[in-house]
Amino acid sequence: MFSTVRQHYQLISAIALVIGVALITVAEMPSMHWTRVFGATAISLGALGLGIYVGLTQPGRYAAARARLASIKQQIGIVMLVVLFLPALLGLGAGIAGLFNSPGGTGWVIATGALILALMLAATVAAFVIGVQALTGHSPVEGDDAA
Amino acid sequence: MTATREILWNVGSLQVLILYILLVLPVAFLAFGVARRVQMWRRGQPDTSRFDRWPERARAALTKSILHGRIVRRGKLYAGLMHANIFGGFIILLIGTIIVLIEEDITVPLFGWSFYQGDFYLGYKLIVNLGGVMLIVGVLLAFARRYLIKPKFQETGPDDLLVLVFLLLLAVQGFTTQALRLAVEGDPWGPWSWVSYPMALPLSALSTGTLETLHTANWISHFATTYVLLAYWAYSKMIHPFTSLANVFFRRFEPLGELRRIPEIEAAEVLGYGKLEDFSWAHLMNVDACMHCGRCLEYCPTFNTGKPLHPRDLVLELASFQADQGGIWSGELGGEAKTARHRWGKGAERELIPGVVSPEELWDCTTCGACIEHCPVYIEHVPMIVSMRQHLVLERGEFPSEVTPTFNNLERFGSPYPIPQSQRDDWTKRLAEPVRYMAELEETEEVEYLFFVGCLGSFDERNQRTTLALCRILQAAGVNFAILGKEETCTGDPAKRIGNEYLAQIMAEQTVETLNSYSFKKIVTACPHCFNAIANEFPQIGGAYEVIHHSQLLNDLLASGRVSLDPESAMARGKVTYHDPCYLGRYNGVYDAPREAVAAMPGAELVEMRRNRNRSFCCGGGGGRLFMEEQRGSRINQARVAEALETGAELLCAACPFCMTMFEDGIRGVGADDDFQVLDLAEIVAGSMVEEPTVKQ
Ligand code: SF4
Ligand code: SF4
Repeated sequence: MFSTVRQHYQLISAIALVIGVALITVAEMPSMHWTRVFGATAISLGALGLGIYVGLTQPGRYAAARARLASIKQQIGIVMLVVLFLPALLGLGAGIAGLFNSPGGTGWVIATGALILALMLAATVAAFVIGVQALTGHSPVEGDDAA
Repeated sequence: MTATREILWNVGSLQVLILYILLVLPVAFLAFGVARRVQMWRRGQPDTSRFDRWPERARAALTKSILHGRIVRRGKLYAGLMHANIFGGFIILLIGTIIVLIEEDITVPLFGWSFYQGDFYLGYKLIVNLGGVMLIVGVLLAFARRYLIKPKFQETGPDDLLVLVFLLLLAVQGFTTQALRLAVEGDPWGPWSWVSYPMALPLSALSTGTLETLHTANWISHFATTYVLLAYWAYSKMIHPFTSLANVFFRRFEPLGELRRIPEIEAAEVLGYGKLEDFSWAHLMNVDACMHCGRCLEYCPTFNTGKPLHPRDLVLELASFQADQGGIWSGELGGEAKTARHRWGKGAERELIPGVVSPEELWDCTTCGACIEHCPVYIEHVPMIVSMRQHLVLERGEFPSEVTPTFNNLERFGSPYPIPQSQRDDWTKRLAEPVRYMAELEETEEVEYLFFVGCLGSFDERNQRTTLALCRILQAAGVNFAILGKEETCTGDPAKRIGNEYLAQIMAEQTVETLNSYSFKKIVTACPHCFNAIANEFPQIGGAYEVIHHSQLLNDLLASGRVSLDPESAMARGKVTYHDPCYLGRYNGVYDAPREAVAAMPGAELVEMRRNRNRSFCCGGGGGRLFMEEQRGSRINQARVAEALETGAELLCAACPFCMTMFEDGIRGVGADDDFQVLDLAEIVAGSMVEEPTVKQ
């Protein structure tokens, strides 16, 4: 039985994925929420199966696609950074803006909130800059004397 | 009203649907990367020794790795706490997320049971906020270390930075999303979220629509970041929590100083490591376990004297090559790293030596073991380096030309010196009282100690003085001992460390055969290299003996009063500093006995060098380096002598003939020979005894 499973590994994984997507979709219907965990599990198992299958048996598969992705990795990385950072920066910035707009709460809690927001905003801006520098190969701390 | 919150508040069905379906991408990426790595390790040679002592392995993985026992260490508080914060914070947030998933997708829909409420919920909020703070603090400490503190051994590639960037973003998004919800909901249990609650108060001044939009955007980006991190996991240094855990679990339990022999060497098809497939699977996993911490560099004599061998970079070179061969983008999401991972070439088609690792790196190693001792994840640099040397010596016949006479002498004379074996015991002629030979003992007589003199102690003029001193002390103390004399041969240690395993095996077998033909209780030796070979490597070939170093015996004799010291002796008066030989200290854990013996000398004040005990700095003579030229970087022995001089001592106490030779040379090299000297512990004790023993000049 196990050898049969191994032979059809790819097919079984793909089926798990399809079933998973179906169950997840069904889960959004009223009183069918219980199917979500099974859907998520099936999707995860299907994805794991496919990843492991290709990784173990056909490492060269999708090589061209991977090479194409690798050739534009910097661009992808920077777009990704902007998209991922923007909401957090806007949220933290909105908090700072809210300080000037009659916020609720007691004085010291507001002051604490302002401090946390400011520190987090500073750290996030710094992290964004560091991320861009890392992606573009312009980090001031790269390498050591071994390079 | 029970304390709780609505999970997936302000998140639409479509968003949830897309989120779950997209899970396929990061999981598949992760699985592919992990599978490729495992496939790479599976190419390695079998090593069944890693599958025993399971409880001990599990305990080590828990205490040394998960609980950070080997990461938070003395002198490593900053780095240790930084790592503990990042790891601990991440784990808390991960568990927090899993708890929410269990409530939302399992217990409520399947069993109609909700646990995410009341006191549990409030405690959860406190702890999850703590986890977020720990993660942010840990990441900020890591940034400060890389940008401001900049330890000499820190190397920063794009991957190191990107992983930190993503982790920080993850925590910030979590807090921001939470604060935005609190700002809209006016949650009465808000203050339990002690970080996001204060953030929510200024936010509450904004309109509900704005807050909800920002919340959705942050929620989506939080998940997207999680997915990116998950997909990137197996291709970045993020893999190390798993690989290093596995490495700690499958670590070797043999003594640190033991190098395995190549079994049935005559018939062996592969001699040493000439390509990745020759490595054991455990060593292939080793190189993927590196967390880039650089601790292996801190006490590495080659790194610290400007030589090309940097043990971390050697490991990363091998890891990058493995990634190249496995088609894994390893740590290369960022810009071209100006790091040392591709110093000698790039791509999967390279020859291991010199395309990935340079011969210079391999030959510069002194096998001092500082890298292994300080590596938090038990990476085995020395066995890998020696195995690559074996390939060069045995398969290619390539080694530094200075080593040729050493090999020839070992083959012809049984020692690294071009002196006939018949002269091995010539030093005994300088003893006033004759020494006994094992061969001359009655068959029924069992001596207490077989004194294994070693090649340096037998042939090298400077080290003969140590041998003579030790004999005189033993004679004065009435110790029942004898030597092998002309029957003694090299243990094979230099040949083994240089990579001539074939010759090393012959030497070792010959010595074991000789030792096994006699009856004695213990072996004593003044040479830590002989000590290590006899104690840790001879048992592999049927030579199990109790062996002690002369510093241990001397300390015992002093403590028991069998050696009387002259209180007026000027021998070691003033400051004396002690150098830990690598093969005695790090490899065999003998640190206290020689120190206690020095401290017992009349008028001696023991002062420690900056780097001591397991953080000692090598003399530069191990690993066969004593027989090679030091062609690259500055002199290791001079660096150590300079450190000894820093203490203000006038006397350096050595406990190893290799160290003695290196320091004699180092002291001359730094021009300190007028007011600074090196003596072996035996010479110091002999010179401090009540009656200065007579020496025939
Ligand atoms: S054994 Fe010593 S010299 Fe060799 S790499 Fe390790 S620390 Fe450096
Ligand atoms: S080899 Fe060990 S000590 Fe060296 S950088 Fe890697 S994990 Fe750290």
